[in-house]
Amino acid sequence: MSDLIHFSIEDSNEIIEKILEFIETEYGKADPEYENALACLFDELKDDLYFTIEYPYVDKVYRDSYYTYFASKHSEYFRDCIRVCVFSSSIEDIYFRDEKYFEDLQKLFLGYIIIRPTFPKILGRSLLNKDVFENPEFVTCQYKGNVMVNGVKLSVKGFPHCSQDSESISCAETTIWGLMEYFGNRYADYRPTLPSTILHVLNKYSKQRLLPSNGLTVNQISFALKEFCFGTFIYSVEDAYENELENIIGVYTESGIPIIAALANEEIAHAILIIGHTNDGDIDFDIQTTKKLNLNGKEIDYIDYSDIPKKFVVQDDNLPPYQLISLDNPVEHYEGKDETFLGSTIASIVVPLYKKIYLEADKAKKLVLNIVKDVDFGFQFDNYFVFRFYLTSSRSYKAHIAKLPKLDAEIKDVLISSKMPKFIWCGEFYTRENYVGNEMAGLIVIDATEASENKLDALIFAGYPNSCIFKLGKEFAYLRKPFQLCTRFQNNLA
Amino acid sequence: MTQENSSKSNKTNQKGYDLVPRDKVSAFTQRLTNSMKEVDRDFQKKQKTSTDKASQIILNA
Repeated sequence: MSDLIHFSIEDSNEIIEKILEFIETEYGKADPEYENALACLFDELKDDLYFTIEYPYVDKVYRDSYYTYFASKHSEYFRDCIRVCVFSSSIEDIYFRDEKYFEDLQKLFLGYIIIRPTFPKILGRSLLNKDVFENPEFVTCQYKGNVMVNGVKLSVKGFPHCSQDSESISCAETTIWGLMEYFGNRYADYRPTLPSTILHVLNKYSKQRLLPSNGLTVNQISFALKEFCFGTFIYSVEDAYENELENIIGVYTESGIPIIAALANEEIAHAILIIGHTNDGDIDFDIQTTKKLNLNGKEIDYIDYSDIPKKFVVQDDNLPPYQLISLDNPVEHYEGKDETFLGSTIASIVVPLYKKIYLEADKAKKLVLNIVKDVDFGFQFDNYFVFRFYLTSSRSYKAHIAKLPKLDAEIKDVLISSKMPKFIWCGEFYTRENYVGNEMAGLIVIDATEASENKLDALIFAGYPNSCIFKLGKEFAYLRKPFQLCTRFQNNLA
Repeated sequence: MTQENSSKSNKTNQKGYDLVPRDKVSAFTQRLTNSMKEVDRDFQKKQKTSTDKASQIILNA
Protein backbone atom coordinates (compact mmCIF):
# COMPACT_ATOMS: atom_id res chain seq x y z
CA MET A 1 0.00 0.00 0.00
CA SER A 2 1.29 3.44 -0.99
CA ASP A 3 1.62 6.23 1.55
CA LEU A 4 -0.08 8.57 -0.90
CA ILE A 5 -3.67 8.58 -2.13
CA HIS A 6 -3.97 6.50 -5.27
CA PHE A 7 -5.73 8.28 -8.13
CA SER A 8 -6.19 6.77 -11.58
CA ILE A 9 -8.40 7.28 -14.63
CA GLU A 10 -10.15 4.31 -16.27
CA ASP A 11 -12.63 3.83 -19.09
CA SER A 12 -15.87 1.83 -19.20
CA ASN A 13 -14.17 -1.31 -20.45
CA GLU A 14 -11.66 -1.46 -17.63
CA ILE A 15 -13.46 -0.10 -14.61
CA ILE A 16 -14.80 -3.33 -13.10
CA GLU A 17 -11.50 -5.14 -13.58
CA LYS A 18 -9.56 -2.27 -12.01
CA ILE A 19 -11.83 -2.12 -8.97
CA LEU A 20 -11.51 -5.88 -8.51
CA GLU A 21 -7.74 -5.56 -8.72
CA PHE A 22 -7.90 -2.89 -6.04
CA ILE A 23 -10.08 -5.01 -3.81
CA GLU A 24 -7.61 -7.86 -4.10
CA THR A 25 -4.55 -5.67 -3.51
CA GLU A 26 -5.88 -3.53 -0.67
CA TYR A 27 -8.27 -5.87 1.11
CA GLY A 28 -6.84 -9.24 0.03
CA LYS A 29 -10.28 -10.37 -1.14
CA ALA A 30 -11.31 -12.05 -4.37
CA ASP A 31 -14.66 -13.59 -5.14
CA PRO A 32 -16.82 -13.79 -8.30
CA GLU A 33 -19.65 -12.35 -6.20
CA TYR A 34 -17.86 -8.98 -6.07
CA GLU A 35 -17.71 -8.86 -9.85
CA ASN A 36 -21.44 -9.64 -10.00
CA ALA A 37 -22.18 -6.84 -7.54
CA LEU A 38 -20.14 -4.35 -9.54
CA ALA A 39 -21.52 -5.52 -12.90
CA CYS A 40 -25.04 -5.11 -11.56
CA LEU A 41 -24.40 -1.36 -11.33
CA PHE A 42 -21.75 -0.58 -13.95
CA ASP A 43 -23.49 -2.59 -16.70
CA GLU A 44 -26.53 -0.34 -16.32
CA LEU A 45 -24.53 2.81 -17.06
CA LYS A 46 -24.14 4.10 -20.58
CA ASP A 47 -21.04 3.25 -22.60
CA ASP A 48 -18.14 5.63 -23.09
CA LEU A 49 -18.09 6.94 -19.55
CA TYR A 50 -14.79 7.64 -17.82
CA PHE A 51 -14.02 6.94 -14.19
CA THR A 52 -11.52 7.91 -11.56
CA ILE A 53 -10.53 5.57 -8.74
CA GLU A 54 -9.34 6.93 -5.39
CA TYR A 55 -8.04 4.90 -2.47
CA PRO A 56 -8.05 5.24 0.49
CA TYR A 57 -11.26 7.22 0.74
CA VAL A 58 -12.85 8.09 4.08
CA ASP A 59 -16.58 7.68 3.61
CA LYS A 60 -18.59 9.34 6.37
CA VAL A 61 -21.45 6.85 6.23
CA TYR A 62 -19.32 3.70 6.24
CA ARG A 63 -16.97 5.14 8.90
CA ASP A 64 -20.01 5.74 11.06
CA SER A 65 -21.06 2.08 10.73
CA TYR A 66 -17.44 1.02 11.19
CA TYR A 67 -16.98 2.81 14.50
CA THR A 68 -20.47 1.98 15.77
CA TYR A 69 -20.40 -1.67 14.86
CA PHE A 70 -17.70 -3.29 12.70
CA ALA A 71 -14.72 -2.11 14.77
CA SER A 72 -16.22 -3.72 17.88
CA LYS A 73 -16.15 -7.18 16.28
CA HIS A 74 -13.40 -9.74 16.74
CA SER A 75 -12.59 -10.27 13.05
CA GLU A 76 -10.64 -7.66 11.13
CA TYR A 77 -12.71 -5.12 9.22
CA PHE A 78 -11.21 -2.46 6.99
CA ARG A 79 -12.03 1.17 7.58
CA ASP A 80 -11.13 2.73 4.22
CA CYS A 81 -13.26 2.74 1.08
CA ILE A 82 -12.64 3.15 -2.63
CA ARG A 83 -14.32 6.08 -4.37
CA VAL A 84 -15.18 5.91 -8.05
CA CYS A 85 -16.13 9.17 -9.77
CA VAL A 86 -17.96 9.24 -13.09
CA PHE A 87 -17.31 11.56 -16.06
CA SER A 88 -19.21 11.72 -19.31
CA SER A 89 -16.16 12.00 -21.53
CA SER A 90 -12.43 11.38 -21.48
CA ILE A 91 -10.37 13.23 -18.90
CA GLU A 92 -6.66 13.37 -18.14
CA ASP A 93 -4.58 13.77 -15.00
CA ILE A 94 -3.57 17.29 -16.03
CA TYR A 95 -7.24 18.39 -15.83
CA PHE A 96 -6.96 18.20 -12.04
CA ARG A 97 -3.84 20.29 -11.82
CA ASP A 98 -4.53 23.16 -14.20
CA GLU A 99 -7.36 25.57 -13.37
CA LYS A 100 -8.26 26.15 -17.00
CA TYR A 101 -9.73 22.61 -17.11
CA PHE A 102 -11.81 22.86 -13.92
CA GLU A 103 -14.87 24.17 -15.74
CA ASP A 104 -14.63 21.29 -18.23
CA LEU A 105 -14.38 18.82 -15.38
CA GLN A 106 -17.54 20.26 -13.86
CA LYS A 107 -19.40 19.91 -17.17
CA LEU A 108 -18.34 16.27 -17.46
CA PHE A 109 -18.85 15.25 -13.84
CA LEU A 110 -21.78 12.85 -13.27
CA GLY A 111 -21.34 11.76 -9.68
CA TYR A 112 -19.63 9.17 -7.52
CA ILE A 113 -19.98 5.66 -6.12
CA ILE A 114 -18.36 4.38 -2.92
CA ILE A 115 -17.04 0.84 -2.85
CA ARG A 116 -16.97 -0.21 0.78
CA PRO A 117 -15.28 -3.24 2.40
CA THR A 118 -18.50 -4.91 3.58
CA PHE A 119 -18.09 -8.11 1.62
CA PRO A 120 -19.99 -9.24 -0.38
CA LYS A 121 -22.33 -6.20 -0.35
CA ILE A 122 -19.67 -3.78 -1.47
CA LEU A 123 -21.69 -1.01 -3.13
CA GLY A 124 -21.87 1.87 -0.67
CA ARG A 125 -23.52 5.20 -1.09
CA SER A 126 -23.67 6.96 -4.42
CA LEU A 127 -24.85 10.25 -5.81
CA LEU A 128 -25.30 9.93 -9.54
CA ASN A 129 -26.84 12.24 -12.07
CA LYS A 130 -29.47 10.49 -14.15
CA ASP A 131 -27.39 11.24 -17.26
CA VAL A 132 -25.17 8.28 -16.37
CA PHE A 133 -27.90 6.29 -18.13
CA GLU A 134 -28.65 6.21 -21.85
CA ASN A 135 -31.70 8.43 -22.56
CA PRO A 136 -33.10 8.78 -19.05
CA GLU A 137 -36.80 9.35 -19.72
CA PHE A 138 -37.76 10.19 -16.16
CA VAL A 139 -37.87 13.01 -13.62
CA THR A 140 -36.95 12.76 -9.94
CA CYS A 141 -36.40 14.74 -6.77
CA GLN A 142 -32.77 15.80 -6.70
CA TYR A 143 -30.30 17.93 -4.80
CA LYS A 144 -26.93 19.39 -5.64
CA GLY A 145 -24.09 17.68 -3.80
CA ASN A 146 -20.58 19.11 -3.56
CA VAL A 147 -17.61 16.80 -3.98
CA MET A 148 -13.85 17.31 -3.81
CA VAL A 149 -12.18 15.15 -6.45
CA ASN A 150 -8.39 15.09 -6.48
CA GLY A 151 -8.23 18.67 -5.26
CA VAL A 152 -10.99 20.04 -7.52
CA LYS A 153 -14.34 21.10 -6.11
CA LEU A 154 -17.16 19.69 -8.24
CA SER A 155 -20.91 19.39 -7.85
CA VAL A 156 -23.55 16.98 -9.08
CA LYS A 157 -27.34 16.82 -9.03
CA GLY A 158 -28.96 13.53 -8.15
CA PHE A 159 -30.72 11.48 -5.51
CA PRO A 160 -28.63 9.49 -3.00
CA HIS A 161 -28.55 5.71 -3.06
CA CYS A 162 -26.89 3.17 -0.80
CA SER A 163 -27.01 -0.59 -0.75
CA GLN A 164 -27.60 -2.32 2.54
CA ASP A 165 -24.80 -4.25 4.22
CA SER A 166 -27.50 -6.32 6.04
CA GLU A 167 -25.56 -6.16 9.30
CA SER A 168 -25.35 -2.57 10.43
CA ILE A 169 -28.02 -1.21 8.10
CA SER A 170 -31.00 -2.92 6.45
CA CYS A 171 -33.42 -1.54 3.90
CA ALA A 172 -35.35 0.33 6.59
CA GLU A 173 -32.34 2.32 7.81
CA THR A 174 -31.07 3.00 4.28
CA THR A 175 -34.39 4.52 3.22
CA ILE A 176 -34.34 6.82 6.27
CA TRP A 177 -30.71 7.71 5.53
CA GLY A 178 -31.55 8.41 1.85
CA LEU A 179 -34.45 10.67 2.76
CA MET A 180 -32.42 12.63 5.28
CA GLU A 181 -29.47 12.92 2.91
CA TYR A 182 -31.80 14.42 0.31
CA PHE A 183 -33.77 16.76 2.61
CA GLY A 184 -30.73 17.68 4.72
CA ASN A 185 -28.71 18.75 1.72
CA ARG A 186 -31.58 20.51 0.01
CA TYR A 187 -33.44 22.35 2.78
CA ALA A 188 -32.19 24.33 5.77
CA ASP A 189 -34.90 22.83 8.02
CA TYR A 190 -33.24 19.40 8.05
CA ARG A 191 -29.80 17.84 8.48
CA PRO A 192 -28.24 14.80 6.80
CA THR A 193 -28.21 11.86 9.19
CA LEU A 194 -25.80 9.01 9.81
CA PRO A 195 -26.86 5.43 10.60
CA SER A 196 -25.77 5.72 14.25
CA THR A 197 -27.99 8.80 14.70
CA ILE A 198 -30.97 6.88 13.31
CA LEU A 199 -30.34 4.09 15.84
CA HIS A 200 -29.83 6.59 18.63
CA VAL A 201 -33.20 8.17 17.91
CA LEU A 202 -34.95 4.80 17.73
CA ASN A 203 -33.31 3.45 20.89
CA LYS A 204 -35.65 5.61 22.97
CA TYR A 205 -38.60 3.82 21.45
CA SER A 206 -37.27 0.32 20.95
CA LYS A 207 -37.72 -2.48 23.47
CA GLN A 208 -34.81 -4.48 22.13
CA ARG A 209 -31.37 -3.95 20.63
CA LEU A 210 -31.13 -2.47 17.14
CA LEU A 211 -27.64 -3.72 16.22
CA PRO A 212 -27.08 -5.99 14.34
CA SER A 213 -30.02 -4.68 12.34
CA ASN A 214 -33.16 -6.78 12.26
CA GLY A 215 -35.02 -4.14 10.30
CA LEU A 216 -37.66 -1.69 11.48
CA THR A 217 -41.42 -1.55 11.40
CA VAL A 218 -43.19 1.06 9.29
CA ASN A 219 -44.20 2.78 12.53
CA GLN A 220 -40.58 2.93 13.69
CA ILE A 221 -39.58 4.54 10.39
CA SER A 222 -42.34 7.08 10.81
CA PHE A 223 -41.27 7.72 14.41
CA ALA A 224 -37.65 8.30 13.37
CA LEU A 225 -38.72 10.75 10.68
CA LYS A 226 -40.89 12.58 13.17
CA GLU A 227 -37.85 12.91 15.42
CA PHE A 228 -36.01 14.41 12.45
CA CYS A 229 -38.61 17.22 12.29
CA PHE A 230 -41.05 15.84 9.73
CA GLY A 231 -44.81 15.65 10.09
CA THR A 232 -45.36 12.14 8.75
CA PHE A 233 -48.47 10.42 7.43
CA ILE A 234 -48.82 6.65 7.07
CA TYR A 235 -51.13 5.20 4.44
CA SER A 236 -51.81 1.44 4.42
CA VAL A 237 -53.67 -0.56 1.82
CA GLU A 238 -55.43 -3.17 3.92
CA ASP A 239 -58.82 -2.01 5.26
CA ALA A 240 -57.88 1.61 4.53
CA TYR A 241 -56.58 3.01 1.23
CA GLU A 242 -57.29 -0.13 -0.82
CA ASN A 243 -58.00 1.53 -4.16
CA GLU A 244 -56.53 4.93 -3.46
CA LEU A 245 -52.92 4.29 -2.50
CA GLU A 246 -51.51 4.39 -6.03
CA ASN A 247 -53.25 7.69 -6.66
CA ILE A 248 -51.88 9.11 -3.39
CA ILE A 249 -48.38 7.96 -4.35
CA GLY A 250 -48.88 9.71 -7.69
CA VAL A 251 -49.86 12.97 -5.97
CA TYR A 252 -46.91 12.98 -3.58
CA THR A 253 -44.47 12.03 -6.31
CA GLU A 254 -45.80 14.85 -8.49
CA SER A 255 -45.27 17.09 -5.46
CA GLY A 256 -41.56 16.23 -5.40
CA ILE A 257 -41.79 14.45 -2.07
CA PRO A 258 -39.80 11.21 -1.84
CA ILE A 259 -41.81 8.58 0.02
CA ILE A 260 -40.93 5.32 1.73
CA ALA A 261 -42.93 2.36 0.44
CA ALA A 262 -43.21 -0.90 2.37
CA LEU A 263 -43.39 -3.89 0.03
CA ALA A 264 -44.61 -7.16 1.48
CA ASN A 265 -45.64 -10.67 0.58
CA GLU A 266 -46.29 -13.57 2.96
CA GLU A 267 -42.57 -14.18 3.49
CA ILE A 268 -40.72 -10.88 3.42
CA ALA A 269 -41.14 -7.13 3.78
CA HIS A 270 -38.85 -4.58 2.20
CA ALA A 271 -38.53 -0.79 2.14
CA ILE A 272 -37.82 1.32 -0.94
CA LEU A 273 -37.86 5.01 -1.76
CA ILE A 274 -40.14 6.32 -4.51
CA ILE A 275 -38.49 9.46 -5.90
CA GLY A 276 -39.96 10.25 -9.32
CA HIS A 277 -41.73 8.99 -12.42
CA THR A 278 -41.29 8.56 -16.15
CA ASN A 279 -41.98 11.46 -18.49
CA ASP A 280 -45.53 11.79 -19.79
CA GLY A 281 -44.94 11.12 -23.47
CA ASP A 282 -48.08 11.03 -25.61
CA ILE A 283 -51.08 10.32 -23.40
CA ASP A 284 -53.99 8.58 -25.10
CA PHE A 285 -56.88 10.11 -23.17
CA ASP A 286 -59.42 7.84 -24.86
CA ILE A 287 -58.19 4.85 -22.90
CA GLN A 288 -57.69 6.48 -19.50
CA THR A 289 -59.70 5.58 -16.42
CA THR A 290 -62.19 8.29 -15.58
CA LYS A 291 -63.82 9.38 -12.33
CA LYS A 292 -67.23 10.91 -11.76
CA LEU A 293 -67.93 14.39 -10.44
CA ASN A 294 -71.30 15.99 -9.93
CA LEU A 295 -71.07 19.56 -11.22
CA ASN A 296 -74.27 21.49 -10.52
CA GLY A 297 -76.45 18.42 -10.80
CA LYS A 298 -74.73 17.16 -13.94
CA GLU A 299 -72.65 14.00 -13.62
CA ILE A 300 -69.48 14.39 -15.63
CA ASP A 301 -66.37 12.27 -16.18
CA TYR A 302 -62.90 13.58 -15.55
CA ILE A 303 -59.38 12.19 -15.78
CA ASP A 304 -57.22 12.36 -12.68
CA TYR A 305 -53.60 12.85 -13.81
CA SER A 306 -52.37 10.70 -10.90
CA ASP A 307 -54.37 7.75 -12.28
CA ILE A 308 -52.60 7.83 -15.66
CA PRO A 309 -50.35 4.74 -15.76
CA LYS A 310 -46.66 5.46 -15.59
CA LYS A 311 -43.52 3.92 -14.22
CA PHE A 312 -42.11 5.20 -10.95
CA VAL A 313 -38.43 5.77 -10.17
CA VAL A 314 -37.24 4.05 -7.02
CA GLN A 315 -34.09 3.76 -4.95
CA ASP A 316 -34.00 0.13 -3.82
CA ASP A 317 -30.99 -0.84 -1.73
CA ASN A 318 -30.89 -4.34 -3.25
CA LEU A 319 -30.75 -2.92 -6.81
CA PRO A 320 -28.82 -0.24 -8.73
CA PRO A 321 -30.05 3.37 -8.37
CA TYR A 322 -32.97 4.82 -10.36
CA GLN A 323 -34.89 1.63 -11.12
CA LEU A 324 -38.22 2.00 -12.91
CA ILE A 325 -41.16 0.03 -11.51
CA SER A 326 -44.90 -0.29 -11.95
CA LEU A 327 -46.80 0.23 -8.72
CA ASP A 328 -48.81 -2.94 -9.34
CA ASN A 329 -45.61 -5.01 -9.55
CA PRO A 330 -42.92 -3.19 -7.56
CA VAL A 331 -40.59 -6.23 -7.48
CA GLU A 332 -40.36 -6.83 -11.21
CA HIS A 333 -36.55 -6.45 -11.08
CA TYR A 334 -36.25 -9.38 -8.68
CA GLU A 335 -37.56 -11.84 -11.27
CA GLY A 336 -34.82 -14.36 -11.94
CA LYS A 337 -32.70 -12.91 -9.12
CA ASP A 338 -34.48 -13.54 -5.85
CA GLU A 339 -37.75 -15.45 -5.87
CA THR A 340 -38.58 -14.64 -2.24
CA PHE A 341 -39.52 -11.09 -3.26
CA LEU A 342 -41.95 -12.15 -5.97
CA GLY A 343 -45.59 -11.37 -5.37
CA SER A 344 -44.79 -8.45 -3.05
CA THR A 345 -47.11 -5.49 -3.28
CA ILE A 346 -47.10 -2.05 -1.67
CA ALA A 347 -48.61 -2.53 1.78
CA SER A 348 -47.96 0.89 3.30
CA ILE A 349 -46.24 4.17 2.60
CA VAL A 350 -44.70 6.74 4.91
CA VAL A 351 -44.86 10.32 3.66
CA PRO A 352 -42.44 12.83 5.23
CA LEU A 353 -44.16 16.18 5.07
CA TYR A 354 -42.91 19.53 6.31
CA LYS A 355 -44.18 19.70 9.90
CA LYS A 356 -46.53 22.62 9.22
CA ILE A 357 -48.33 20.93 6.35
CA TYR A 358 -51.46 19.84 8.18
CA LEU A 359 -53.62 19.11 5.16
CA GLU A 360 -52.59 15.80 3.56
CA ALA A 361 -53.10 14.75 -0.05
CA ASP A 362 -56.33 12.76 0.09
CA LYS A 363 -58.31 15.38 2.01
CA ALA A 364 -56.75 18.26 0.10
CA LYS A 365 -57.74 16.77 -3.24
CA LYS A 366 -61.31 16.16 -2.11
CA LEU A 367 -61.45 19.72 -0.82
CA VAL A 368 -60.38 21.15 -4.19
CA LEU A 369 -62.93 19.01 -6.02
CA ASN A 370 -65.61 20.23 -3.61
CA ILE A 371 -64.61 23.82 -4.38
CA VAL A 372 -64.89 23.29 -8.12
CA LYS A 373 -68.33 21.74 -7.58
CA ASP A 374 -69.55 24.74 -5.65
CA VAL A 375 -72.38 26.75 -7.15
CA ASP A 376 -70.78 30.14 -6.37
CA PHE A 377 -67.04 29.44 -6.17
CA GLY A 378 -66.80 26.61 -8.71
CA PHE A 379 -67.00 26.20 -12.46
CA GLN A 380 -68.85 23.94 -14.87
CA PHE A 381 -65.96 22.24 -16.68
CA ASP A 382 -66.80 20.07 -19.65
CA ASN A 383 -66.81 16.31 -19.69
CA TYR A 384 -63.40 14.60 -19.64
CA PHE A 385 -61.45 17.49 -18.19
CA VAL A 386 -57.99 16.57 -16.88
CA PHE A 387 -57.20 17.29 -13.23
CA ARG A 388 -53.61 17.51 -11.99
CA PHE A 389 -52.95 17.93 -8.29
CA TYR A 390 -49.78 18.53 -6.29
CA LEU A 391 -48.17 20.25 -3.33
CA THR A 392 -45.51 22.88 -3.74
CA SER A 393 -43.92 25.80 -1.94
CA SER A 394 -45.56 29.17 -2.54
CA ARG A 395 -42.11 30.59 -3.31
CA SER A 396 -41.54 28.11 -6.08
CA TYR A 397 -45.06 28.62 -7.42
CA LYS A 398 -44.76 32.40 -7.48
CA ALA A 399 -41.40 32.10 -9.23
CA HIS A 400 -43.13 29.98 -11.90
CA ILE A 401 -45.98 32.49 -12.28
CA ALA A 402 -43.54 35.41 -12.56
CA LYS A 403 -41.86 33.77 -15.54
CA LEU A 404 -45.02 33.17 -17.58
CA PRO A 405 -44.84 35.57 -20.53
CA LYS A 406 -48.47 35.39 -21.69
CA LEU A 407 -50.41 35.24 -18.43
CA ASP A 408 -52.55 38.37 -17.92
CA ALA A 409 -50.54 40.96 -15.96
CA GLU A 410 -53.28 41.58 -13.40
CA ILE A 411 -53.80 37.87 -12.70
CA LYS A 412 -50.06 37.48 -12.41
CA ASP A 413 -49.94 40.39 -9.98
CA VAL A 414 -52.76 38.99 -7.86
CA LEU A 415 -51.16 35.54 -7.66
CA ILE A 416 -47.73 36.88 -6.76
CA SER A 417 -49.03 39.51 -4.31
CA SER A 418 -51.40 37.11 -2.55
CA LYS A 419 -50.45 36.19 0.99
CA MET A 420 -49.73 32.48 1.01
CA PRO A 421 -48.41 29.98 3.55
CA LYS A 422 -45.06 28.28 2.94
CA PHE A 423 -46.78 25.34 1.20
CA ILE A 424 -49.85 25.27 -1.02
CA TRP A 425 -51.88 22.59 -2.76
CA CYS A 426 -52.59 23.33 -6.41
CA GLY A 427 -55.23 21.82 -8.64
CA GLU A 428 -54.74 22.41 -12.35
CA PHE A 429 -57.62 21.85 -14.78
CA TYR A 430 -57.16 21.17 -18.48
CA THR A 431 -59.30 20.27 -21.43
CA ARG A 432 -57.94 17.16 -23.11
CA GLU A 433 -56.86 19.27 -26.05
CA ASN A 434 -54.99 21.94 -24.12
CA TYR A 435 -53.27 19.42 -21.85
CA VAL A 436 -50.98 18.62 -24.77
CA GLY A 437 -50.45 22.35 -25.37
CA ASN A 438 -49.55 22.68 -21.69
CA GLU A 439 -52.13 25.39 -21.05
CA MET A 440 -54.45 25.32 -18.05
CA ALA A 441 -58.18 25.96 -18.25
CA GLY A 442 -58.41 26.51 -14.51
CA LEU A 443 -56.40 26.67 -11.32
CA ILE A 444 -57.31 26.31 -7.66
CA VAL A 445 -54.76 27.13 -4.96
CA ILE A 446 -55.44 26.18 -1.34
CA ASP A 447 -53.63 26.59 1.95
CA ALA A 448 -51.76 23.42 3.00
CA THR A 449 -51.76 24.49 6.65
CA GLU A 450 -55.55 24.63 6.87
CA ALA A 451 -57.07 21.38 8.08
CA SER A 452 -59.70 22.56 10.52
CA GLU A 453 -62.81 20.38 10.53
CA ASN A 454 -65.08 23.12 11.78
CA LYS A 455 -64.18 26.08 9.62
CA LEU A 456 -62.71 25.38 6.24
CA ASP A 457 -60.95 28.49 5.11
CA ALA A 458 -58.33 27.15 2.76
CA LEU A 459 -59.13 28.72 -0.63
CA ILE A 460 -56.53 31.24 -1.81
CA PHE A 461 -57.19 31.53 -5.53
CA ALA A 462 -59.58 30.06 -8.07
CA GLY A 463 -59.10 30.88 -11.75
CA TYR A 464 -61.66 29.73 -14.32
CA PRO A 465 -62.23 30.35 -18.05
CA ASN A 466 -64.77 33.08 -17.25
CA SER A 467 -63.42 34.77 -14.13
CA CYS A 468 -61.21 34.49 -11.05
CA ILE A 469 -61.82 34.70 -7.30
CA PHE A 470 -59.10 35.34 -4.81
CA LYS A 471 -58.61 35.78 -1.07
CA LEU A 472 -58.16 39.40 -0.11
CA GLY A 473 -57.49 39.72 3.61
CA LYS A 474 -60.49 38.14 5.30
CA GLU A 475 -62.70 38.53 2.24
CA PHE A 476 -62.84 37.19 -1.30
CA ALA A 477 -62.69 39.39 -4.38
CA TYR A 478 -63.62 38.88 -8.01
CA LEU A 479 -61.07 39.39 -10.72
CA ARG A 480 -63.29 39.57 -13.75
CA LYS A 481 -60.85 38.25 -16.26
CA PRO A 482 -60.64 34.83 -17.89
CA PHE A 483 -57.91 32.62 -16.50
CA GLN A 484 -55.91 31.58 -19.55
CA LEU A 485 -52.42 31.24 -20.98
CA CYS A 486 -51.06 29.78 -17.76
CA THR A 487 -48.68 26.89 -18.36
CA ARG A 488 -48.10 23.80 -16.29
CA PHE A 489 -45.98 24.00 -13.16
CA GLN A 490 -43.10 21.55 -13.41
CA ASN A 491 -40.56 22.71 -10.81
CA ASN A 492 -41.14 19.89 -8.30
CA LEU A 493 -39.16 17.28 -10.24
CA ALA A 494 -36.18 17.53 -12.58
CA MET B 1 -60.52 47.08 2.37
CA THR B 2 -64.24 47.52 3.06
CA GLN B 3 -65.36 47.83 6.69
CA GLU B 4 -68.97 46.95 5.99
CA ASN B 5 -70.42 43.84 7.52
CA SER B 6 -72.92 42.83 4.89
CA SER B 7 -72.77 43.35 1.19
CA LYS B 8 -75.27 42.29 -1.38
CA SER B 9 -74.10 44.34 -4.31
CA ASN B 10 -70.67 44.97 -5.74
CA LYS B 11 -68.66 46.37 -2.83
CA THR B 12 -65.09 47.18 -3.68
CA ASN B 13 -61.86 47.34 -1.73
CA GLN B 14 -59.19 50.01 -1.98
CA LYS B 15 -57.73 48.49 -5.12
CA GLY B 16 -61.11 48.52 -6.78
CA TYR B 17 -61.81 44.80 -6.79
CA ASP B 18 -65.43 43.74 -6.40
CA LEU B 19 -65.78 41.82 -3.19
CA VAL B 20 -67.73 38.59 -3.05
CA PRO B 21 -70.78 39.30 -0.85
CA ARG B 22 -70.21 37.99 2.63
CA ASP B 23 -73.40 35.97 2.72
CA LYS B 24 -72.18 34.13 -0.36
CA VAL B 25 -68.82 33.47 1.31
CA SER B 26 -70.51 32.21 4.50
CA ALA B 27 -72.77 29.92 2.53
CA PHE B 28 -69.80 28.62 0.54
CA THR B 29 -67.78 27.94 3.70
CA GLN B 30 -70.74 26.18 5.27
CA ARG B 31 -71.31 24.00 2.17
CA LEU B 32 -67.62 23.12 2.08
CA THR B 33 -67.47 22.30 5.78
CA ASN B 34 -70.55 20.08 5.50
CA SER B 35 -69.28 18.25 2.45
CA MET B 36 -65.90 17.64 4.09
CA LYS B 37 -67.32 16.24 7.33
CA GLU B 38 -67.74 12.77 5.90
CA VAL B 39 -64.28 13.00 4.29
CA ASP B 40 -62.85 13.86 7.71
CA ARG B 41 -64.53 10.92 9.44
CA ASP B 42 -63.34 8.57 6.71
CA PHE B 43 -59.83 10.00 6.99
CA GLN B 44 -59.65 9.47 10.78
CA LYS B 45 -60.76 5.87 10.38
CA LYS B 46 -58.30 5.15 7.58
CA GLN B 47 -55.41 6.75 9.43
CA LYS B 48 -56.04 4.66 12.53
CA THR B 49 -56.20 1.45 10.50
CA SER B 50 -53.10 2.48 8.54
CA THR B 51 -51.06 2.92 11.72
CA ASP B 52 -52.31 -0.38 13.18
CA LYS B 53 -51.41 -2.28 10.01
CA ALA B 54 -48.06 -0.51 9.69
CA SER B 55 -47.00 -1.69 13.14
CA GLN B 56 -47.18 -5.29 11.95
CA ILE B 57 -44.75 -4.99 9.04
CA ILE B 58 -41.05 -5.47 9.80
CA LEU B 59 -38.95 -4.19 6.92
CA ASN B 60 -35.71 -6.10 6.73
CA ALA B 61 -35.47 -7.84 3.35
